[in-house]
This record gives sequence, C-alpha cells and structure tokens, in this order.
Amino acid sequence: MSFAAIIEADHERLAALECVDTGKSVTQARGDVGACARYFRFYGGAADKLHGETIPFENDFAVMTWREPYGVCAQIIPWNYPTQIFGRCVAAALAAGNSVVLKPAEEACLSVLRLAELAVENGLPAGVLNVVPGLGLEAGAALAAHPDIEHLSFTGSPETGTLAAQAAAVHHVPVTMELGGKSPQIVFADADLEVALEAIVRGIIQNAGQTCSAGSRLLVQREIAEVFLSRLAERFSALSCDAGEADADCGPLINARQKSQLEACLERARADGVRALACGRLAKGASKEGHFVVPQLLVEIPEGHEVLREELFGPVLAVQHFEDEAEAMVLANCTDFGLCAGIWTRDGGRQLRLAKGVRSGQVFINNYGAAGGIELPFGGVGRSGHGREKGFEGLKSYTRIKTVAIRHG
Amino acid sequence: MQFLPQMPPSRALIGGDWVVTQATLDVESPSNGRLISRIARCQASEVDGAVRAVADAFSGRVAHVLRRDHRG
Repeated sequence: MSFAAIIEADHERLAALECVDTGKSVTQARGDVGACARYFRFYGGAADKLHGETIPFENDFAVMTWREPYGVCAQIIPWNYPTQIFGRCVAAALAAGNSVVLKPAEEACLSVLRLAELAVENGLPAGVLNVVPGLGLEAGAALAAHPDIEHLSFTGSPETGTLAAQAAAVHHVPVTMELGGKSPQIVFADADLEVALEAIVRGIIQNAGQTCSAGSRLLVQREIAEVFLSRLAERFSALSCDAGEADADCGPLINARQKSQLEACLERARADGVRALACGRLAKGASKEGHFVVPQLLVEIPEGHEVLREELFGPVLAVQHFEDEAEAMVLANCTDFGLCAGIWTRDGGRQLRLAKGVRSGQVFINNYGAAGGIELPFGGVGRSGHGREKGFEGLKSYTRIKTVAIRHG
Repeated sequence: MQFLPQMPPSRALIGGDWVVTQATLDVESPSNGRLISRIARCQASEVDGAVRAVADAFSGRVAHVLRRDHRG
C-alpha cells in the first residue's frame, strides 16, 4: 500500500486532528489531507524520473552529472498548514533519497505526529523520518544551527527566517526560505467579475487569512470600483466566523498573540482614517475563548500604510484603486514581498505584460491558486524568500549536482 | 467541543522510537481555548539525537527506500 493510500485511509481522523488543532474548518482540513496524499503520490511517482545530464565536452572526455540527495534534511514548518506542508516537504525530500528531521510548530502539530505514526506503523525504516516538536527558540534554533544538517527548508515569518538562515550559514548549509507574502489581486474593468469576486473572497478568508499565499490586497480599476466593492461588501457582510468544527466560512486565528497583534494593527489603521467597508459576523454559538477576528474589507487607506505593506495574517482585505495598467503594475510591486499575484482581465496582451512585470514567484491569470497546486513550483522573491518547493522543481531542490568527468583518451 | 479525535503520540520520533521529553507543551484549541493535548518539548539534546539518527539511517541500509515494485 502506498503512503498516499495510507493517508487517504486515515482521512477523517487526520482531518479532525487538523481541524481541532488549527481551528480551520472541517472542509478545509479535509482538503488539506487530500493535498498531503497527493504530494506523496506525485513525489512517489517522480522519484525514479529524476536524473542528471551528459554534457558535450572535449573529444577525449565523457562528462555527466548526477543528482545526489543531500542526506540530512532539516525542515522547520509552520502551524497554518501542517498536513499540507508535511506532504510538500517530507514527500519531496524522501523521494529524492534524503532523510528528514522535522521540527513542526508548537501551535499545531497533531496531524504531523499522526502522519509520522502512520509512517512508522507501515514500515518506514527507523531514522528516515524524525519529528522533534518544541519551541522555535529551543528545538528550532538547535536544528537550524546543527553542524551535521546538510539542507534546511524553513517555512514561516521573514523575521524567524532570517535567524534560521543565519544559523545555517555558519556551517554553509543551503536553505530554502518560504516566508509569506502580501499578494495582490488585480481586477480590471473587462474581467469576469463574478468569477473574480468569488476567488478573491476565498483567497483571503481561507484558513482565516493565515495563508502565506493569501490574496490580501485588492487593486481594482477605478471605473468599476464602486460597483465591484458594493458586491464584495455584500459577500463580506454575509461571512460567518465560528469554530473549526462548525465548518463556517472563517475559523479563529491560531492563538491570542496573533489575535491581539492583528487587532492592534487594525486599531492603528482606524486611527489613521482607514475604514471597514464591510465586516463578517461572529456566529452566535462561537466561544468567547476562541481567537476570532471577523473578515474585514478595508478602504480609504493612506498610501504606504502598514495594512498595504505588512503581512497581517488574518481575514483582512486591503483595497486600493488604479486608473490604468501602468498604475496597477506600480501598486502591485509596492511591497517588499513577492509570492503570488492574481490578474483578472480578458485582454491577452495585458495578461502577459503584467505576468512579466509583476514581481512574484507565481502569477495566476483569471484564477487564484492560494495554497493548491501540488505540481506547480512555489516560492517567493524578495522578502517572500527564495528557493522553490512543490512540483518537480521542489524535488530537484532536495538534490545537489555532482559532475563526473571521465577522460577516456 | 463537539468531537475530539483520538490523539497521536505526544512524544518525539527519534530514530524510530517515540521518545518522552522532560518537559511538555500544552496544545489548546484556537476555537475555544480548551486543552486538547500535550506535545513533547524537545531541547538541543533531542534534536542532536534526531540528526544523528538521520545520519545513521542515511549512511546505512536505507539510502534508497524505493522498491522497484513501488515505482509509479
């Protein structure tokens, strides 16, 4: 039985663990378990299709490259998508022939422990996968600084990513850094606005906005802004927040610290004149001890404000207007992040001009992929990090090239 | 809490063994603040053990875990 099939057979329990641990809806958690299984199926199938090259060289030489595993891969993963990111990182690293020490986030790692338990129960050899739960400043710091790791994959905040990369650099350990985003959804007047509207709402409320690839900025062309925002406001007003188990539109934030940080930021925004055009509501039965922040649509935002620049990691969509394509491009690129961009227009030339000009690792035209796309290389530019996970590129990133030059005379 | 699934091991997985750590961390539900589980709180010594376990696994018999009949 493949590990993907083993995951699928344990689907409901894994989804329930992910739901109670992260607060995300049951529906989302089920999707995440399905994605995790797909990662193992994809990388399991890809494992024997990864090979080097032969290189034309001088006449009396034959030269080839081998793709070799690093050996000891350290992986530090976050609390927002533990199941999916387990698949993304562990499946790729193992398929490339490495072994793994995984440090999951202390806020949410129950699904990861269950996945590890399933691996052990089903015969994964001892030592190939190790899981060391704990605090970032203890277990995470010790792992990133360990002299015997040979690769580090880190997914988390830019600030912690800097510390992890610095620690790894002491021993010249290569790193993949996936550090979040402030991704724009760029909507032109000629777009299919119905399709755009639904994707934009989903792209910011999924996992209560605690998604690195969340579409957290809406850039809308001025001539349709009033109509589009009034439709969007209707949708936001109808959104409901409740416990993960209640399977509402939006769950809680992960903990009290994230909630208080976001609320403090929103308070500063209000003081600076930012207005919430629409808010979701908290369900009647929602616990007062839950870390809920209702979805919000923010307008009238001063240029350069932190809600336009910083990753808020909550269900908060910040709106800006633009006149034309040139201004859209400037606004799209006005953050230090560059993870994803959504472009909504029927104009083919404009689609390609923006896709080329936008500073990001992924571009979605007339769709928005959020955290999906097992087969699609994913990663950032600038403050969103470097290196690529997912897809075949992700598999390659867990190997290094050895060049073999043979002089045969 | 409407339902609470059966919890996985609250320990660390090191070299194929589920290892108990001296300290543990509480896991609380973001939806209602209730304690739902406890997990291991690994320190540098456990991390070091895990890295050594990987090194052993990698240098030995299991460098290639993919069997021909498992290929896709």
